[in-house]
Amino acid sequence: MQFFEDLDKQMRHKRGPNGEPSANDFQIHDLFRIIERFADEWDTLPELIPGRPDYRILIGTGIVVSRFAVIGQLANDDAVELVQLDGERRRHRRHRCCDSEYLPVALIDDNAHKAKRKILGVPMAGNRSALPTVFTAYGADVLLIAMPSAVRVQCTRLSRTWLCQRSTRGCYN
Amino acid sequence: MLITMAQKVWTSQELELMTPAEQDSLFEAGLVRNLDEAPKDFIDRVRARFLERLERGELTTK
Repeated sequence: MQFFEDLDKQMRHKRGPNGEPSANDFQIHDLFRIIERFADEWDTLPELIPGRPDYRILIGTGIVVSRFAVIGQLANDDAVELVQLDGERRRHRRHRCCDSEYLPVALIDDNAHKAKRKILGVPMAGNRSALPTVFTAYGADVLLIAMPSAVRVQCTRLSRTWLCQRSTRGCYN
Repeated sequence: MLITMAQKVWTSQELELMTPAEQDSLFEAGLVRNLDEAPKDFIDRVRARFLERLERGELTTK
């Protein structure tokens, strides 16, 4: 059964530390609904390969996966067999990227509408006038400048006049 | 476009608190029934893998 081999390869066997769903969760929450759709709606599902109505595809965001594509094959006895799964697990958002050594502790933005808000749990510390206090208040030691529209002079001014004096590790843009 | 939208990240525990009807609605809302509405790169990847397997004889018309 190629479908279940796909499932084993693409879904984790156990739930993740933050409640990330397992293959079993996928079967409980998504797979039985997928099977229902193939059984009830075969004739209306799109053909994966035009001219091959014996292979149809169901696509969706799913409940426990960020997206899935399942291909079903119609047999001579009118039974439908699921023959391929392409799924992508939902990624739980974390502040620290698994590939990065940096952990965001505060955000600076001159847009007043963003004041006092949080983005993915990271507090908006204020506009650039708040920069001097951010390092002490939030324990930051690195500043990352993400201003695509800023010209080099602005970045240099920010980093030299405000930040590098207070940063123990430096500035990056 | 449904496939690319960012939905809430449901944990297993949260899902267990939802009723079957709520889960049905969530699942139904995420279905894409027109391939033109799905990301082309995703469909191309799925189709390419399928055709490779078909060519290798792993899938045979019954």
